[in-house]
Amino acid sequence: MLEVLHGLAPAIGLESIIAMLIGTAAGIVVGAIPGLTATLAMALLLPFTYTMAPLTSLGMMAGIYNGSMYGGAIPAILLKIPGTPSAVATTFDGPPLVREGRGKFALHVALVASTAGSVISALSLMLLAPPLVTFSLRFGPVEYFWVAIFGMTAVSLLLADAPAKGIAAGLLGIAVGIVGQDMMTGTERLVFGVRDLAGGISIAVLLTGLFAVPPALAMLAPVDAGGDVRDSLKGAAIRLREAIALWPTLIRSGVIGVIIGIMPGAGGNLAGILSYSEVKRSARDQSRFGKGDPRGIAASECGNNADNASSLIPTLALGVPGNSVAALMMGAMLIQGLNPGPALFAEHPDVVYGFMWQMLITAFIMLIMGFAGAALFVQMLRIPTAILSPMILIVCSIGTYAAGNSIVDVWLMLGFGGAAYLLSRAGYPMAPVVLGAILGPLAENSFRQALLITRGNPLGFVSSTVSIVLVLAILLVLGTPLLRWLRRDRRRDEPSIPPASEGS
Amino acid sequence: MSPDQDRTVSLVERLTIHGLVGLTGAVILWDTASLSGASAIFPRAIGAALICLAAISAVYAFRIRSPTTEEVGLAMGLSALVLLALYIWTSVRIGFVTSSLWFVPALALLGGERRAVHIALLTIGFVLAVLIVFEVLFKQPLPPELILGEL
Repeated sequence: MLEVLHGLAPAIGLESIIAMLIGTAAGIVVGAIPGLTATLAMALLLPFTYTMAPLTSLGMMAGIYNGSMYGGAIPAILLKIPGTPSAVATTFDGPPLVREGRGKFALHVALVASTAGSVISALSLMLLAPPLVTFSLRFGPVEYFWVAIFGMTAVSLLLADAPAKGIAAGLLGIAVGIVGQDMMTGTERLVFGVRDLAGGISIAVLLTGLFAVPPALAMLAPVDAGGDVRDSLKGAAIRLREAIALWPTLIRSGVIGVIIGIMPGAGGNLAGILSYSEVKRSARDQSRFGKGDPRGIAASECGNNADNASSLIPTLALGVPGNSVAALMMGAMLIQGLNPGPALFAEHPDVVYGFMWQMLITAFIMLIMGFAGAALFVQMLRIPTAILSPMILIVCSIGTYAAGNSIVDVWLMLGFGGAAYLLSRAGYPMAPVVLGAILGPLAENSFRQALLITRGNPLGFVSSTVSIVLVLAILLVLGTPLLRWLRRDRRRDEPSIPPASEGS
Repeated sequence: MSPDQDRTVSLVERLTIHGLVGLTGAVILWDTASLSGASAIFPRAIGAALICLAAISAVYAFRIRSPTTEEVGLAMGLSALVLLALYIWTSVRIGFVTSSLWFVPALALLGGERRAVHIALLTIGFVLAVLIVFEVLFKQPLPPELILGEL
């Protein structure tokens, strides 16, 4: 446990502090603009991190991650438009409070709850990741093969309404991941004679294309900001007594958020909604929920922020990202030559523990910035998104070019962006693509190493307790669509069908 | 066409996209046909699985009449992608910053922004910011810029 302290000094260095301040401010701004998300901001930043020190880039990423979750609450409360998907449940109780003339109070509740959620999450990361690393030292190629398969299966099946699309998305990602030379034989695969592809596809190019281009295109369809929001910041600020009274809600939502964060495939939106439902269910007086109950805002915001750092536990400890933001964080580390997993804790403790402290420190930076700059952040709602869209695409293009000094990378980014746009329209989720690109090569190499070790004996793949548990977990995940189908079958007579679902 | 109608995804479009996914699988199979040994196992399995999964998705596409999407409408999205491709193409020839001078207004107009002065001021401000950040602060080696007389 004491090893965590090794990261404190690097995390509070001047460069790290500046990076966290910039990242947090950028995160709140990004979250406050409907259509911009943490993934977009991080994907945009990724190509520029090549030139940064590890804790500078990770500090900025940590600030963006935490800040954007709170930023998403601003339009959710003031305009009833969730700034990020995670803030959906905040729209239930935020706008009624604004109508009562308590807009400032509502924003302060969201800020306090977001901070509490981020703190709970960062502490859970510090407490849970080191023991998981100790445990994972027992893992060999067989276990890593199953961990990679579990990560890809869970994200592919849990994120998509249609399992076929989720798995196909994961396989497309694996195909991207194996482009280039086979690491074990040196054979070129899926290069199609293009010399620039022989070294493989940069993860930054893929992430920028997938997570920055489609949202930038979506911003061309204007969001109705609903007029002037300057008058919304009315009423009294939150009092210390009122903030303290929220602690049972914050603890409950924080724990839910942490659990959801650790689970692969889940995300901040699920954490926010589940926290809201649980707090409402357990409340003695439920009559005010949906009509301006501060506990509703606190539950949603604490839950979605508590998902943040905890989602990085499997990423840092095992090298297995559970969602797209974790994959982006992993991408930022890979760019720095840092391979998440047990070796990272032994070789670069200052970076890995420093990053954990950054997740904690950015929570408090967010609190201070949120109180001091509320009026400024609210102005972000007035920015015309149609002009922001080309600016984002230009920064993506220049950033991608600058990272590798290659125009081929920019064309690849466009290709991935276009493919992501079309695939998303047909209901294919994008997170499995990234997971496939990162975990696919890990799964392939582990599989081949395991075959060599076990001398081709298939029973060697289920010879340890960890392997058996992982296989059972994979079977459980595979059974989830079947359970969904059975439930849907029971409700066949009901008239309403979710419009976006293309369930297969 | 109302914004709501624009958010729907037609059956033809969905079938085309599923077809492209299947085609990707076929291309992977074709490319790895010449490979042998362990290097070929994974890509071949992926190619075959993609074809099967695309076929399943195509069959199930008939069961849903008009699903909606959060993405921008097809015409606008494809137009924006074509403009982005043109931007990249011109950037190699006249520079990223110079190309931004036409790309920002073009895409803003496509997005429905009609305030000409607003667009002009924001474009110039953005181009200056990009110049300062990339050329002065980061000193990034970018393609030669027409507006800087580097061509």
